[in-house]
Amino acid sequence: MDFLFDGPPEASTTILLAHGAGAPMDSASMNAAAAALAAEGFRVARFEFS
Amino acid sequence: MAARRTGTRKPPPRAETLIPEYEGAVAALHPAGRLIIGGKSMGGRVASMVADGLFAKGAVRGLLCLGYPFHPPGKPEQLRTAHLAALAGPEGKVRHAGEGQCGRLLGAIERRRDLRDRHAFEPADAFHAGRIADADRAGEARVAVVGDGDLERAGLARAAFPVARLAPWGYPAAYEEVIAVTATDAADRLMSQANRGPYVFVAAPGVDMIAPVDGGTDLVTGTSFAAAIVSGAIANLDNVRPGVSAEWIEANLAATAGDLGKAGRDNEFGYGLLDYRRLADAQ
Repeated sequence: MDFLFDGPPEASTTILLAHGAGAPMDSASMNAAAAALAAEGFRVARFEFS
Repeated sequence: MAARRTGTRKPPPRAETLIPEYEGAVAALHPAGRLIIGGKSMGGRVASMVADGLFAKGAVRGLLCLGYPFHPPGKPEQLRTAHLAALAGPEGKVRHAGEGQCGRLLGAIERRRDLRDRHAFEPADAFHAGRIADADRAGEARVAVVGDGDLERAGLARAAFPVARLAPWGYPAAYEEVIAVTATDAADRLMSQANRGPYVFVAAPGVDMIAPVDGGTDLVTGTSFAAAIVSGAIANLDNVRPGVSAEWIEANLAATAGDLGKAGRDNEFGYGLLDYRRLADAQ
């Protein structure tokens, strides 16, 4: 499975995020959420449903 | 979604059918530290369906739902929250908006009173990220629901599973400083999934809109797209009538909108459909 990672790899907490219906894992809102969470020090992993 | 990237189109799958894929992603990721699972809209809903089992196994410590789809499309009277209220977990407290951590969120929006940022934005994930981090550091975050839906009505406020309530139903659209935009289709009917409420201010087209997607175009639906149209109208207005105040824009957005639904302002369409020409000509 291919993940899209944001944030520091050494973070103590990883947040796994799935996308919404009809939108890819790199939609504007997913990018915004991942960037915001990464900026708070989380490691964010995104994946796509097949 | 991978199917859409490769050029084929089909309706979104039922969330239940995606449970094995989500569990597969958790197994494939196996992070060294703590794991919070979640997602946007349908993705968060799937995560909420696997959260209890994974939590019991110690595989996850939290669930983060961004824009949880509380209602099936077109059925605002139905709720998809029974399993959320039943989520089991250790003791914890329900965190209500207005308590400490939400104060900073309110502050962030309070500072955005200038015209550029005055117009509508959808549930702003960036604003909530800090709250999630605070709750995580405090060891409190288990379920966080951001965006649409009514927590009280869903019974979540009484859930056994600790709830980090980052913002109540309708926020940030419901903040007083925000012009909340709802969406209509080509026949001026309300977008079926749109939230209703006393904060809805104005409507704009947002159903089956043509938008650039993946290098081509595709049909998109959402209040996000309607909000962009109102934002653009305000930007245009600022260009052709420089110097008009945010108060003027707000008052005249309401005064020039084409009334829809019940006469006058209502909780579905607000003051009605944006009419940019009347707005630009308003005295």
